Amino acid sequence: MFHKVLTNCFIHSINCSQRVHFLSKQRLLWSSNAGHNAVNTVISRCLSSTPSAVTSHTVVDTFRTNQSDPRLHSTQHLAMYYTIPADIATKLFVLGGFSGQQQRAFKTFRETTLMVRRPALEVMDYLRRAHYNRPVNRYVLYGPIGSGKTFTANHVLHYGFEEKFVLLYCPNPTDWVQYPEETSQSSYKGQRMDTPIDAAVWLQLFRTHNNHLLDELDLRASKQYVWSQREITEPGDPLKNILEHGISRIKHSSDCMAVILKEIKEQSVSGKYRVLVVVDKANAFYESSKIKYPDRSLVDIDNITIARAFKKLFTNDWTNGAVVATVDKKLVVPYRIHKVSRPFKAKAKSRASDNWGPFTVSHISDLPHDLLTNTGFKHFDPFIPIEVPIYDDKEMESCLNYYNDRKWIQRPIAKTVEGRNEIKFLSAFNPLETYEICCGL
Amino acid sequence: MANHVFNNLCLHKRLTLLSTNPCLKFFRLSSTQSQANDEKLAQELGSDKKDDEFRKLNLMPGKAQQRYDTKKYFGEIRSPRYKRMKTNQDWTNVWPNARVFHPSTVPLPIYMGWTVPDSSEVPAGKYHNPELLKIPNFLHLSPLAIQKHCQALKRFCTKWPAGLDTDEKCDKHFPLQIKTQEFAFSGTSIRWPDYRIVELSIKMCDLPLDPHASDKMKRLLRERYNQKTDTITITASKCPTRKQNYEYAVYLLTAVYFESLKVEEWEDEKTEEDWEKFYWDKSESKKTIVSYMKQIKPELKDEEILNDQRVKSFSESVSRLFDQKEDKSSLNEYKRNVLQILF
Repeated sequence: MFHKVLTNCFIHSINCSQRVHFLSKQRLLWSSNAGHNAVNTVISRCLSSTPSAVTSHTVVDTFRTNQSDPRLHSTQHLAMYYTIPADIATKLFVLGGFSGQQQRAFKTFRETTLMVRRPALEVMDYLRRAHYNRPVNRYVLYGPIGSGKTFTANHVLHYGFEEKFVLLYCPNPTDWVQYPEETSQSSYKGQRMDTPIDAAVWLQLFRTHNNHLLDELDLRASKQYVWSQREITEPGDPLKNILEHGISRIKHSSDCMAVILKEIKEQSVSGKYRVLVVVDKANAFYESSKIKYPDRSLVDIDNITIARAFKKLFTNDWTNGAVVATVDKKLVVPYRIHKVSRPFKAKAKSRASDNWGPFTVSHISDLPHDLLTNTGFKHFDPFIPIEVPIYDDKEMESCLNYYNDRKWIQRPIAKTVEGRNEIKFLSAFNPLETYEICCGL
Repeated sequence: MANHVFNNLCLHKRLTLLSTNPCLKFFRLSSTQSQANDEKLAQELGSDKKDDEFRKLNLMPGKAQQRYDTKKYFGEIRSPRYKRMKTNQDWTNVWPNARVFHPSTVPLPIYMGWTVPDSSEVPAGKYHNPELLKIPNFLHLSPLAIQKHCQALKRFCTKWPAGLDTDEKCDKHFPLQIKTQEFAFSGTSIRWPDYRIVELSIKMCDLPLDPHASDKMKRLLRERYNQKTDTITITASKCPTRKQNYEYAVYLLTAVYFESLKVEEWEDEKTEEDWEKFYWDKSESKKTIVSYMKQIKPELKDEEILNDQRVKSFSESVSRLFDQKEDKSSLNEYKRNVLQILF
């Protein structure tokens, strides 16, 4: 016997006899990147005949959890939103680990919450069980566009922060490799290109992440580094000096950053600390860059100082660390097919026939070997590929409940069971699409 | 219109046809008749004697004019030929060569045409049907006709070899196939340039090649080799005559074969991008795994590492990722193997 409660937020049961409205087939065609099979399962899920029992406790219990320490997250917290304490959130994501749209959303919701999902728990489980005296393990998160890879990586970042890992976080390699603020010829090696401002910004991020750890661990430089005639770092000087030097003297910041990364990697053998490297969109390091030399020829990634230094962390010739990387299809997808939040420069000479082509992105693979390219695969092999799938039923319900709670969904029709089914159908259970659909409601 | 059809029409229709059909109107205009009319008219105009009678102006020929006797101009019409055919006749005598469809000769009730769907319309019959004329008919190739042809040709032929009764046996004994085309052209010159084209095909498995040679041959042949059917197809059309093209094709095959058996010095420089399949033994993947295992246990030897079951299955999964298109199942297998090694 079903008892339908039709108030704002307290909707649980999905009556199997509800009809799903077909609003826009076009939207469905290019919203879902999962292909035909996923669409069929989506339809079968929406119209499933399994009744869900009405529970007596309130919605707050089913989609939120008070547990804000990721170390204590387990399968009982699946599909629940947990809040990252505000001070930690500002500390971790000061450079912006999330896209601009999402950051504005967090501002609107006045809290930084992430959903606890299976891939994150899987990664955290591996991080607990790993043998840190062995060479580093690499974990590669893959999945369709908008399935929550960045969020999973940030969840793991929070976990690493709580577990007192040394965090090396690169939220946007495209900022270094494709659209740096400023480039200059390197003074260390003529062929290399420095990106001073980006390096300085990253050093500041590194400082905010790991300040207390650096004080505790008191890492020292192992070699002499000559920055200029008057500025020399002697062996035995604390790394903090190099850090401060890089932030203050922007001219040397790229080299400082490279030195810090190198030192941390080399000294990890001691076992005093563990390093967690979190990289979003790691396949940017293996695509071509957009930086040009003065003579208009393209720069290789290996010739960009900070990118080169960061890439060296991906190989498994060091210990006491872990690398969590995401591979994203967005870098390979033409802008005209999928709305991707990055600057786009229209080419004056593009003909109409060039723009007529596939209207979905399903022909481009989102699996790691294809995205990382052969060189990338050689660096990462052997790695553990972890799939970040689209929402399942429980997660979807939880997501919609959360948006209801935050008053993100305002139209009354969107709060009914029929409305919800429509949202589920249109978004094809894709997290990003759900968010974008609910933006308009 | 055929005689028999005309005669079968009713009298009324015959008369209307005769009067309205422009082709049949010829008998109306006989010169003697018009002259007689003119004379009559002149007589009538000339005599003004009788004023009491009002002269009528006869524009239309009335009953005064005699109707032309509708004789049957069409003689006795024979029934169509197909009605006079016997069932045991020799069809090859009726239709010895290819000819345009002739309805009264074909003893078949054929209908061909478009009908309005779901109506009781019947398609058009064989008479006056241009569609049947347009399509090719093979009435000259009845089994009896073919039998007669074969019988006539038999004395010029030798017997089919007894051992070649199946296709497989033919392919086994005669792996080389030559395809040429013959053309018949009616014009001022009987030459047709496409006659010179010779296509030579052979299966690669029939050639004695070692792995290096077969790989080199595939690279040399490029698009002339079909991966799915494992056949080499060499088309020669450079030379003006067929004989020259045939010899050229055979020469090409020989040259490619012997060239692929040779091993040049620069072939050692083959890099990983040029590998036709993924050789795990020469790859980076093997080096990383071996170094990884050695870091865990330095005393292990290379052979022991490579003989380890986990490493073997890992190598297979990596090869599968490279050789075949990556998909979730192969990726999951790779994940399983990696987890076995790392944890």
